[in-house]
Amino acid sequence: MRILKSLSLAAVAAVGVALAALPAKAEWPEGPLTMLIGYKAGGGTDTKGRVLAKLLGEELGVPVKVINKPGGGQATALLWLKNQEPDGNIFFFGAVTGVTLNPHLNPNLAFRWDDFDYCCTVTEFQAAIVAPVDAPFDDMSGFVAHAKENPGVKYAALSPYARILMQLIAEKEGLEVNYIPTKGGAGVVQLLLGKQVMAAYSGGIHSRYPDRIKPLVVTTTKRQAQSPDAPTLTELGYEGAADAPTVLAFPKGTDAAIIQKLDSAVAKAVEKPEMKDISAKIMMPISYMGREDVTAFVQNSNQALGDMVKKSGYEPPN
Amino acid sequence: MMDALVSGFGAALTLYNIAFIAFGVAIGYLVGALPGLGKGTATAVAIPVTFYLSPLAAIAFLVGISKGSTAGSAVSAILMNTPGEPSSTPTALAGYPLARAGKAQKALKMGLFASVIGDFVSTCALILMAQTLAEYALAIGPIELVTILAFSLTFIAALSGKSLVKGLIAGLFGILCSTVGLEIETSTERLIFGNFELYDGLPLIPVAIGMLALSEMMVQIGNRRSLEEQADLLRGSGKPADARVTLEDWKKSARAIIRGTGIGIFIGILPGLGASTGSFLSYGMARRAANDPDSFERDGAIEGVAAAESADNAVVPASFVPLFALGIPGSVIAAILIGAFIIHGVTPGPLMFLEQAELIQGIYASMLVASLILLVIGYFGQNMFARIIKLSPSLVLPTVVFLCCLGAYMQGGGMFGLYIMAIFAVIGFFARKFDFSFVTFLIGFVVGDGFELALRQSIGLLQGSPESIVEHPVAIVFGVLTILGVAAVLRRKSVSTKPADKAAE
Repeated sequence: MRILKSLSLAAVAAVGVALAALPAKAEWPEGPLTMLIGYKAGGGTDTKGRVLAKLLGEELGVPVKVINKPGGGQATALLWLKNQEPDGNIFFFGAVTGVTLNPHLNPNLAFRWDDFDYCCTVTEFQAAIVAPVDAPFDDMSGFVAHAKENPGVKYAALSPYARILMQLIAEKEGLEVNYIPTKGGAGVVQLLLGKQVMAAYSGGIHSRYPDRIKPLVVTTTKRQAQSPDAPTLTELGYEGAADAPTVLAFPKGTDAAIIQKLDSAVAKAVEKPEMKDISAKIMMPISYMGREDVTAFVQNSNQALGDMVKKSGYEPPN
Repeated sequence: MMDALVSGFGAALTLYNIAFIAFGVAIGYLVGALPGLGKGTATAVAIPVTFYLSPLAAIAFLVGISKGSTAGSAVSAILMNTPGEPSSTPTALAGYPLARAGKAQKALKMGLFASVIGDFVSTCALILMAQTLAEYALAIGPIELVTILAFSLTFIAALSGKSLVKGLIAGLFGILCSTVGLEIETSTERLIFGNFELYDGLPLIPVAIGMLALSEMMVQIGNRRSLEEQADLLRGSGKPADARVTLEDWKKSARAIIRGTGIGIFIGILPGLGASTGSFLSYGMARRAANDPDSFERDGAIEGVAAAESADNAVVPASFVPLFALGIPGSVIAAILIGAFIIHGVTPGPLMFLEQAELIQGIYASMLVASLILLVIGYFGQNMFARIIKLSPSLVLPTVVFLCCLGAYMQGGGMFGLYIMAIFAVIGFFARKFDFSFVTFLIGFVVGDGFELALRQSIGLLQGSPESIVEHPVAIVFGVLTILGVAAVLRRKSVSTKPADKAAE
């Protein structure tokens, strides 16, 4: 029995070596590809991913199917991806903060940004700190004044990052903020429209409600085209600004030629009218960055967000 | 308004469109009637199919599926005691005993009529008052929600069966299971034991399939001989009055349907509750209104079926109220539909009424048409499904087990879903054998998650001063109802000494 077992192990190993020694697959893709999304079906990222998957399928000549593995701010999907074969047949589509931010917030996560090979970025989230349109202030200084007069001002936080952003502001200005937890963009909208909170962090869903929700400050590093009057956190002297494009990533060790090929397909897909249409619909402008630059971008972003988390005094759960 | 609806009917009543509505309702009814598969699975799978349809046909098709499967899930609940979806669990409680008494046809028909009435009235409410109802729903904040959910939890006591203590144990175990995953505020891991697939919590569909359907199959497979004997009973008494809905039945059920429809609409427009809460609430209230509540699970009750199904189906159109008016999904099905809407170039939310007024009216008209088609397809479809009971259990049981696995696989993230289903099937099996109520487990599990979030939000919103609850009259009403409900149960349980028959199993 034992001999048989070791023999078969040896055989498996031999096959493995032989496969590894094969030349790079120029003919990729050979069969259907899988796009992995770390959110539930139906959200903004999922919708965009599905449109992108369809366009990539047309471009590459094979079907690209979408699977959803929600949970832990994309952590479930990324952990799963890390353990997949790097054969190019499965790739991740989602917010880059899944790799650049979450491991800092929760060091128990069994992955880091450099456990993946990056292909390109696709779109940008238009995140901001927002308020109901009839709030008694129109900008950050107004909010700070209001919060000083009303200690315990209510702020909806849908994630630890949303909480940290306000903690950094509160610390700097000496505010007492009452953090109300909530789930997802829909939860934020509900609390804002229901007048339950005075302010909230929004990943971008607020732009669907221009006459009911107003942005106070954008949390990206540059101003946003849809709300050109809202300043950035950095302009106001606050910490924590971060760009969160959606990124395509493979398991570590994927053939560079395969990544390059997908990158080229994405470059073509983002130019198609369907992609532009959907980006306008869910207000997530296209922000394409190719393979040459994307890894450095992810690395820098990871560094900056790590520093931010350290500075905020955030205590990760154990 | 009326003009727009009339022109909406013009757009909706093309042969092409009606064909897709009918197709959607038929598929939905079939999928809903098969145990293990539900509307979530059906709609999610169908979305890519709709890529190639016009927006109106695509959305009408998906809405047809969701309506059809909501009504269809009553079929397996009544015939096989295996609810197609968690929200049909009360239907099984009151409907399966009826089927065992030879009144399967009657129960199925009442289930369908109650479904269509709940669905139709709720659709009308959506059409006439979406904007108003949505604003009203916004006034129901976390503090109100906590008390409504606490009120739903009191039905754990009412549905506990013989032993209140065992019912509470099962209900609390359900709440415990709902806390698995990442904690909402700081993302602390809870009860995941290093298994990262549990970050998002225990997936509802595999848990429900395992606990409700597969464990029932295990019990039935264990009792094959008695099952063959029962199959004779299920074939019907031969009395025509047992195969149709009589005037007497309508009299019994009218109040339950009106109440159920109202509850369904109320629960539907509130994001964060859902169809299961609606049908359990409606069933619980019908039970409370009855002279002999314990007879519901012992002898079956036509008004119990009517109460559960009217509420279950009324939730679906009502959950489109916050979706259309505010862009906030009021149910799982509404959340899945958001993706479909966006793919077809429609962003649900306040702008939709301005930018896509014609399409909205078309969807409204399609929804009304879908109600009528549901009545027709359901009526004839039932005759077909009712033949299942004429088949030998040795054919039916393996098929159902296979479908359960399929549903758990698709909605639970692959093999992970199957493992979860298997674990909960074993738990459900022993729960049935030792007479722990799997129903109260399910109430705890379904309500627990939302209850925790709303409770934590409420604590924050009240800012440590509980007396400011006086600013929330709705919360006070439900708070008082909760206390009265608990008091009533405690009093009845302490006076009743007569052990009820083993009913639901």
